[in-house]
Formats: sequence, structure tokens, C-alpha cells
Amino acid sequence: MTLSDAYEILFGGAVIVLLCVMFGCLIRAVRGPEIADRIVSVNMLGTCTIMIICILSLWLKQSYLLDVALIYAMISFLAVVVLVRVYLGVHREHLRMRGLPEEPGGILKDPVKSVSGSAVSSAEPKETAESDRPEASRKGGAK
Amino acid sequence: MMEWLRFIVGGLCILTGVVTACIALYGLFKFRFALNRMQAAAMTDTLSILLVLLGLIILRGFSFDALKLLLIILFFWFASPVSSHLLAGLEVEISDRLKDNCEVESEDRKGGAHAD
Repeated sequence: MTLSDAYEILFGGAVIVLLCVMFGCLIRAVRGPEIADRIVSVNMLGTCTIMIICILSLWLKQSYLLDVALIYAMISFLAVVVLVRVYLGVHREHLRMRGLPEEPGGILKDPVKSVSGSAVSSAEPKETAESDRPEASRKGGAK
Repeated sequence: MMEWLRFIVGGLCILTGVVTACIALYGLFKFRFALNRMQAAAMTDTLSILLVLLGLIILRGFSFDALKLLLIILFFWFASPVSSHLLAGLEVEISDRLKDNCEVESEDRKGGAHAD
């Protein structure tokens, strides 16, 4: 067995196993019960794709594929950030439409202020006015 | 002989990385909750891609391509914790069954410095 045969077996085996891992990620992305599961598996799918592109760049001896992999890494990261922002905005808009108070418990503060800033500013005075009224009546009762 | 030694070392690194990706996939199906699954999937983003790309660097030798591969590893090690943080924030914000799956501190204790 020559060295080039060994390289063929190594690269081919790694690419085939990574393709199987990608298929499993796809199944989890379809089945995932929550939106975070889907985004996590899409992120992992992108990582496996980048590994395959890097292996192919050595296998085919085309070094420009490494630039493709770098750009793919940036776009994959950007996709996760954009998806999280979009779903957070959709969730907060949904809560506002149903008249529920926004949960302050999250660790992400004001992610979509520029998108829905007008809705926030129009909703805030009403809430303060409603919250002031019981206080005033309570003060009057105490006096 | 030197070529075979380089092939064996690089091939072992690549195989370990691929096996790590398989373990991460197993964790993605074994765990029941999104935050646990995120921990399994982050293993692909850090350890697996480190091992695979390190094996490729060893196989390629010292060249400009090795620097590009190193840059990809570096970018992933910066980007993966950021995306994990964003995903955890999304999960905490929108999940309905968060309190069933993990203990959440009450509001008055959240600002405290100690998290036991």
C-alpha cells in the first residue's frame, strides 16, 4: 500500500463519517422540539461542513477552498446571531400582541430595539399610567 | 519513513476529531433538554474542529495554508462561546418548561455575586 492510497482511505473515511454526522444533525434539526435545538443543530451542521471543506482542500490540493471555509465559518456564525435575534423579536412581538408583560428574566437585554422601538415607546406610557394609578389611590387611602 | 510518521500522527488527530464529532452527535440525541444538547454540540465547535484542523496542519506542513487553518481554529474559538451565550439567552427567554428541567434562581437572589 503506497502513501497516496493511505491518504485516500484516511480522507475518504473522514469525509464519509462526517457526512453521517451531518445527516444525524439534520434529523435533530427536523425533530427538535424547541427552536434552540434547531439552531444548535444547524450550527453543528455548519461546523461539520467546514471540516469537510478543509479536508477536501488537502485532498484535492486546492488551497482556495480554505478561504471558502473561512468565509463559511463567518456566515455560519452570522446565521446563528441573526436567527437568535429574529426569534427573540418574534417572541416579544407575540407577547405584546397578546397583552402579556414582557419577561425581564432573560439575559439578553434589548436585542431588537431598532426594529420595534416605536412599539416599545408607544406601549410604555400606558403601562406607567396604569401602574401609577393604584399607587395614587393607595396613598389617598392612607391619608 | 518520515512521511509515514507524519501521516500516522496527522491521521490519528483527524480520526480523534471525527470520533469526537460522533460523540457530540450521540449527546445531541441522548440529552433531553436544549441547554444540555447545546453543551454536547459545543464540543464539535471547539475540540473536534481543533483536532481535525490540527491533523490537517500536520499533514500539510509549515506553509501559508497552515496559517489559514490556524485562523479558522482561532475564529471558531472566539465565535463558539458567543453563539452559545446567545442561544442560552434565547432558550431562557422563550422556554416554557425551563423550570421543570433546571433549577432557576429566584429574582432577588439573581443579582447576588454568589451562584452556588
